[in-house]
Amino acid sequence: MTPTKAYSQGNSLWQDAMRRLRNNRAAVASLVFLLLVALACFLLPLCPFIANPNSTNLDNIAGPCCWEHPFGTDQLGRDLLARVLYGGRISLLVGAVATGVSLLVGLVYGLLSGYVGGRTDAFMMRTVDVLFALPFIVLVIVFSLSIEEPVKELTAWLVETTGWSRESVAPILGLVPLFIAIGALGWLTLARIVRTQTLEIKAQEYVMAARSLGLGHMRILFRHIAPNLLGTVVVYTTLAVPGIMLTESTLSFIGLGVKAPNSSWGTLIKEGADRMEVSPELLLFPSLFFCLTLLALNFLGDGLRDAIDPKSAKD
Amino acid sequence: MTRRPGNGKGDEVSKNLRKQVETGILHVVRGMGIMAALLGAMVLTGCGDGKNSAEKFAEQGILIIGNNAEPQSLDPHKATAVADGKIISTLLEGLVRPDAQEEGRVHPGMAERWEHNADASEWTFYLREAAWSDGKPVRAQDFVYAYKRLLHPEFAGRYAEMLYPLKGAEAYNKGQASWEAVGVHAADERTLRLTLNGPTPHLLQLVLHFTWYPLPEHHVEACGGMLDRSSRWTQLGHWVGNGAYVYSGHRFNDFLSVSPNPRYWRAGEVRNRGIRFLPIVNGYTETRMYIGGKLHITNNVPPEMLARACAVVPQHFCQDPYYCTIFYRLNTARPPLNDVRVRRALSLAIDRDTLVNKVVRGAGKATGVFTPPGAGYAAEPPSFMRGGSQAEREALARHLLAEAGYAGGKNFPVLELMTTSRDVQRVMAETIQAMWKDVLGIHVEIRSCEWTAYKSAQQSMQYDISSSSWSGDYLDSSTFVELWRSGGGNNCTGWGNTECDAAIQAARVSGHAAERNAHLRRAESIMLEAQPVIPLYTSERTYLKHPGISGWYPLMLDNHPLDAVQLPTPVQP
Repeated sequence: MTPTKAYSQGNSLWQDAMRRLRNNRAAVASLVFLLLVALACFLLPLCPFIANPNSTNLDNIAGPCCWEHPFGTDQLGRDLLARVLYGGRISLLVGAVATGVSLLVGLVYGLLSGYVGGRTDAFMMRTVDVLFALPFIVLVIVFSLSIEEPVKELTAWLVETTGWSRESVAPILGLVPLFIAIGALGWLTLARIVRTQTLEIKAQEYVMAARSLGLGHMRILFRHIAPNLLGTVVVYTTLAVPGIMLTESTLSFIGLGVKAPNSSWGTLIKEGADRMEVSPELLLFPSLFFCLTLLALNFLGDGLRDAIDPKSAKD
Repeated sequence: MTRRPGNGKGDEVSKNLRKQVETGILHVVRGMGIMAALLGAMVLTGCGDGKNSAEKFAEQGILIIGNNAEPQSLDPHKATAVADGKIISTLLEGLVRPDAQEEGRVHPGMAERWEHNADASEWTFYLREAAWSDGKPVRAQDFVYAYKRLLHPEFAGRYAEMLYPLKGAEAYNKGQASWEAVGVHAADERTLRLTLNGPTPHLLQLVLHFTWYPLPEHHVEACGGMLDRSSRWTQLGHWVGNGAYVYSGHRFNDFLSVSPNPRYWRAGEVRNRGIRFLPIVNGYTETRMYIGGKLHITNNVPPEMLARACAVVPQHFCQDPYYCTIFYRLNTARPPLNDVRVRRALSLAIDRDTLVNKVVRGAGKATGVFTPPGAGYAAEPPSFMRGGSQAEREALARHLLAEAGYAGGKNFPVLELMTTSRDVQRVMAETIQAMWKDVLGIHVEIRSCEWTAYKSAQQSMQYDISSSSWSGDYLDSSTFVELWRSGGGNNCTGWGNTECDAAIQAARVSGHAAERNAHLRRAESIMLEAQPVIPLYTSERTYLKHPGISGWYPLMLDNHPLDAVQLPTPVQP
């Protein structure tokens, strides 16, 4: 096809990708849904009509849905809607922050390993192999236990110096071991993917051209190689978030994640599952939110993969 | 950018969408397929011939019983948990056996007959001709060996104080006297003489406990010797015992099974053909499994499931009185819990009636004392708890906390409340956490631990506040009071008081029941005034039992001789 004037401008890969993504209704709907959930979790609790998620009322245990408590109340008479929203904050935060940490580490590690090559590459990849061989959950447990004490000191210090109330700091800071642990150990797969891609891109003509023009290593790495990896990385990330949220619920389930009375979706589901015959809505609402969020993330990930991978979307 | 002719935008969108939906559906269908396959497999293995596993095992005569937790150890000198004791008492037999029907009544066990002197301070037991499961005879020396092992200062047995009624046992255990001075002696292979500190008419109740059981000396010696704490003599394949059953299988976190011991002296009278103990910590899961036909007797129905259990399986539901107190241990070695005012404030701030009515839901009675009713004396709450409404108590609690320097909870450090992952304990912890926050303005953090981690943290005092329970080992108040001797193996609070110790000691050597009770009562009131523990409620056992089962009666100590339990064949669904 001969290029006409209309096309001479040319669309960048990203513009194409965005267009393809916009055309994918499932992915767009998922994106909108995710944004809505995130907004609800982070902004709704600021409204006065949402109850305190930790204030108990033993006279209204497992109460039914009503205006005051749209989702009813839990086994200690706490408002379930508020608990689901606050739980969502923690679950989403863990998903986002832990993924961010592992993204950063994995990207840099993989880039360096692939770009430098040779013995350094072999050494770095063998290290990854060794870490891969260790059971993930066990490592996360050991790791989060070992940095529990410093985090406690940090909380105390923060409360003292800033004068913030304990209740506002503790739930978030209490998760720091989890963030670091999951992030620090979740980068392995990503590092491998990035390294392979780097090896491939390194051999491309434009990188050789850049090198022959005398560009520095940093510039080549971050100007020419990293942007070309981004597609793969973005896709991998969206697909990794659900996994990390699941890990959080696993850890909360065994008592290492969020501490009572705070909740995450994982702990809410666990508590609800115990009581499912007696009061099913305790299981229903949190799991509905959790499942839909995970589903949306998966759809979005699939959509991004189709949109960004030029080969798969050409037909 | 190339664009193929005829590939319109609408086409692309619909194609994309279809693909999306298709893959989505595919995922869902695949997921459902896997689930269906799993369910199918469960159905096939669970009841291939239309029978659930409870029925199938009942046909084989094997009893399946919920046992709360994975045992810490089957070595009677290392075990302290109720779950361990239940298994051990099927594997080993002491001098006497408990009655299935009546609490406190005993039958001859390893001892055929016994006699004692006028004030019941010297006892002679004449052993019957019985054999260990490896064929060697059970000798009086095996009892002596077992007692020496538990009391040995280097063995550091947690439950050593159970043997303190023996003359000289405490001094030997503390390394102050030699073994020769301890009042246990094998006159010959079949005669065991026990000399006690003082008159002990209730000795037969004491020796029912697993700490008084004999050990196969020849076997323990062969497996590493007396003081080897990691000896493998209790392991599967090495087990040697004299009880009604032998240890026959163990799958971690799945089951532990015992099968009849053919060399047991009353092997013909064992009413079932084996027992499976399931370590199910979660009462909801257990109740669900029972309703699903996986168990014959459960360990515990959680309060929230009571109504449902009564509705679904009304004839199966049992609620028995239980000689047990639920309480919080406070680590008095750590500030601010070393301040008695803080401890009292924490105790006063808990609204026990609300706790029992709303959270425990009738499966217990609120209490301010440690020894439950049922035996001995009726204990009195400490002075600061007597009279007054809950509001007044809360006001006093705030006052005490302010006196201790934490007015309104200001500057109060964040304490950690340790619980097991058991459902009731967790809900209770969250309730009390909220009560402390509301009344005292203090924040405690809840740490929920897996059972063995919880036990070891408690025993090494790596906690601030620990959600605990104590069930009587024998039907006498001393089983509760003796816990609080300073340095006692199950004290675990760091608290001790010489006056309290003296009262316990006086009770041990006193001959009259009334005098003994007076001493114990004084010891308890000293302890309660200091409040190293916060008593919450005396619990009742709520569990499910198949109505066709015979030989199981309500017992306050919950030490049912399981060899007397008979399964109906065939079981009605």
